[in-house]
Amino acid sequence: MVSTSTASIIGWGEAYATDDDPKAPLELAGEAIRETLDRAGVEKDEVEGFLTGWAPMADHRPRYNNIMSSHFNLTPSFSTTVTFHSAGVISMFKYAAMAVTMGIADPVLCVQSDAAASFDDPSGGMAGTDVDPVFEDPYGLVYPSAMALIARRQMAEFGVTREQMAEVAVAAREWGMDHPHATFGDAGPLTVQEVLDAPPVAEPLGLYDCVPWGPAGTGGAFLVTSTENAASYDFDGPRIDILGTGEYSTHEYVSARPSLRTAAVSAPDQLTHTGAQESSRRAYEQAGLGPDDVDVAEVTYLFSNIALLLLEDLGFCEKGQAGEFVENGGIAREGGELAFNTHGGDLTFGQPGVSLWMNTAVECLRQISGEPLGASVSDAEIGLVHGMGSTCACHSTVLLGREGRAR
Amino acid sequence: MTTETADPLHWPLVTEYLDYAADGRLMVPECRDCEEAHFPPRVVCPYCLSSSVELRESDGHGTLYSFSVVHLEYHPTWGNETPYVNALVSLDDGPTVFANVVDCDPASLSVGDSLTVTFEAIEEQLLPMFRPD
Repeated sequence: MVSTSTASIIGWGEAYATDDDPKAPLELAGEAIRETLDRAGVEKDEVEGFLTGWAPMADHRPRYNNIMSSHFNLTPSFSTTVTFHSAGVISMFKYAAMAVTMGIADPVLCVQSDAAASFDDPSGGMAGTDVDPVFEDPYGLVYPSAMALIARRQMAEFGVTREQMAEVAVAAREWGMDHPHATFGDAGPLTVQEVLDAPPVAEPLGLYDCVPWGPAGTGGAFLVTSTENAASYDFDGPRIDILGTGEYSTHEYVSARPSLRTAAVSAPDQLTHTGAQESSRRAYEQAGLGPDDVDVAEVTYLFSNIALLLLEDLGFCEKGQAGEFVENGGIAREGGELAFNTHGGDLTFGQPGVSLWMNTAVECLRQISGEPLGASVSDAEIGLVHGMGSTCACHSTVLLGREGRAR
Repeated sequence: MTTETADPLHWPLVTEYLDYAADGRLMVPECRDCEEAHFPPRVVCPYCLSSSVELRESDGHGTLYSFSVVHLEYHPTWGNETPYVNALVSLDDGPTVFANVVDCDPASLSVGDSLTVTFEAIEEQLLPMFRPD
């Protein structure tokens, strides 16, 4: 039964730059917006709400929602940046759903773009990023090292091995090999041994355990309306319903996490128990679904060990068992139990900047619409999108379902 | 006329912590009301929001909770000292704190190793570090 209490996606779009054809974040956003509105059959001036995540790393100007809406001559009555680290890009599904179901603004356009090739610093300005300026930065803590601290605990507590972590990278390469824009899409298959032999970055993490920068630039967008209003638009492709959403944040800097014993996600070791447990529980409950109902999962994780943590905390295997799950082919493209990051995910698709989170979301919309650019999951009806932000600090989960799929 | 300003990163307890570190003393913040310790120092107790947070001296003994051996070279002060070891250390008499393990062979470290605090100057500020027992 259709009611105003639900929200749906009636259009989406994506844009890509290449090394030979670089594009600025605004150009990529413009292309993605145009494709989205075309697909939705919505005129630009009909857009009432406008959301974006945090400013692209290739264009640091704050209040980027204002910059973009002005640039594209949009006049939103509901607009903000959704900054839950980069997981806020995934939270846009929830903010847009809130707006359309409460009658605040409808439709709501959600956009994100970025361009790794246009960073002014090849490291993406990572020194000092996501670390405590007084209690971590003076010690040389860098972001991959913070994630390595989590990896070491997974090894100590669950017996996770570097080989099991490497299986994440191997599976990611399989899934991403046919994607025309994946950073390592043309690099051929990867073996566990190659991952183990790669140069160390922050041990126990090596080069292929870490997300690469790339593609050169990407943009993505989706348009949300109330399910009730969806029928009034002449859109292409299936209506995709937002079935459930959930967010959860536990900390900011990694060193704060171990001593926060009263945090709601409470466990003997908190580095290995993430807010994804709570964000996904909320999304599953709202949707009336469970992990077994998910046909395709598109999840940002940035580092191989974090993929293992999220497979557990999103409910796809038991806590502490993700190492064995992937070792036994759980996320393998051929014969795996779970279609996981069908665009190649972080380790093969790469991180063009903040827009990785948007590409991850659009990949889910593509699979449900039956329009993938690369690997295809046949008849995917229910998709899970999860955004992890910073040092596993922020988590945002959304469950999407193809029109007609019973709630 | 003078105008008082408040450094957003160095509230009084942080300045106090760093002053003790400059004297070679490792302090942990602890709430006088709920008696919970935490790290790093906050403006109020993160458990009960009491302002009665004070620094208590630790004897500096602990075990290695987690560590990372960093090979990346882009950090401005540590980048030319790779590999260096970032660590979380569970104090025997306090919370789990963040610091580096120094004077060690990174390949010989294991979670659970016994460590003792030491102090090293980083950009003219003496900071707590740990070394294997």
